[in-house]
Amino acid sequence: MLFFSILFSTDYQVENSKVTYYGDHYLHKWEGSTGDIRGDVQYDENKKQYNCSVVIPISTFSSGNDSRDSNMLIYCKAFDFPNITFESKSIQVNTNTLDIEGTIEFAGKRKEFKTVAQLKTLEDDQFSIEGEFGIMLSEFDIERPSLLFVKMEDLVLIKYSIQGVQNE
Amino acid sequence: MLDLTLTSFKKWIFFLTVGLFISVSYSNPSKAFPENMPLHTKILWGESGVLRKIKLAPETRKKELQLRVKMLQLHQKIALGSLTTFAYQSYLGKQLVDGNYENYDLHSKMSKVVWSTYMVSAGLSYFAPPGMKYSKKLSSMKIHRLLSWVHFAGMASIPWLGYNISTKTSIGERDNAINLHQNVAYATLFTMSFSALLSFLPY
Repeated sequence: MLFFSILFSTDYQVENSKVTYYGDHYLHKWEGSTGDIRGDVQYDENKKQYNCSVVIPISTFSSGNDSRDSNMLIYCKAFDFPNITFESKSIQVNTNTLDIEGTIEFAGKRKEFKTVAQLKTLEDDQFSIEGEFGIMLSEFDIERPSLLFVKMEDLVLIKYSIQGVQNE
Repeated sequence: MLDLTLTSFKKWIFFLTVGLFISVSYSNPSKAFPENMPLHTKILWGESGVLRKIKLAPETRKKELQLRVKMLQLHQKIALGSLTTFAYQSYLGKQLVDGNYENYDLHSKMSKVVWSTYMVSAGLSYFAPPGMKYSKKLSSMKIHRLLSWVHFAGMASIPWLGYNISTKTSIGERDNAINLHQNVAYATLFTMSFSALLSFLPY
């Protein structure tokens, strides 16, 4: 725990990270990724609490299908709400995992959510975590696109791999 | 007959060459519009595109993309209807070739339905506003777009090839005209079906 305390007593900038969504339709499954993830992890001395904030521009997701990526911007209301943001409320550090609770803002809607992240790397000047969680598009009032008269699944799996590098 | 086949073939090759040429992506240095738009999209929707000149383009890119989504959704649905009708139409055509003329009128009437729905569907796709990006990588949608020139050429020539059958007086010429009409129809049906299958692939 002492080691964790040392790690999180400094500020980290998010770098070399990746977020991937997994879409599902009865005709096919697909995924879209982005590496354009900005954010930081800080330690609040007053609250004795770790804070994390992450911002992802929706337009940076690429699924390998330009037409789908273009259409996604409309369905996800990216012209009005261009970013997906995450703000942590609490980060509980365990031996090999982090219990993260926070708020995700997507398409103009804010939702509370929880995820358990696996701690993959822990060094003096950097760390990396990985994890996944699911979101329901309907909870964000997102109209689901359809193919052959059938809409895609409401549940979208999100996988993340976040790397933090200590600020100089 | 050889002349007719050769002329049709030359027309087909010319159309396909022009089609493939204008389907190739062209770079556009403007930041407001995507790079590598297909030429026909650039002509219609580029910075100085025809639809902007005549003030038919929506005011914002957001509205353009909303229109694009609607047009492509409708394109997908009408194309599916057109393909299904075309498959049945091909079955009726085969019956005529085999000597069963019971459905001659139906084949004739349905040709108008197939052709009209196909052209509406094609129009919805060709005239749709540009997406946000056009990568140079080969994808199922890129092949889908390139194949469209093949089945468009086929669909454009099928009515004329059908009419051509009725102008033949000798049995030999008539058989050749029927074969040409049938082969072009089958090639068109095959490329349309393949094109539809491509749109169901994830990449």
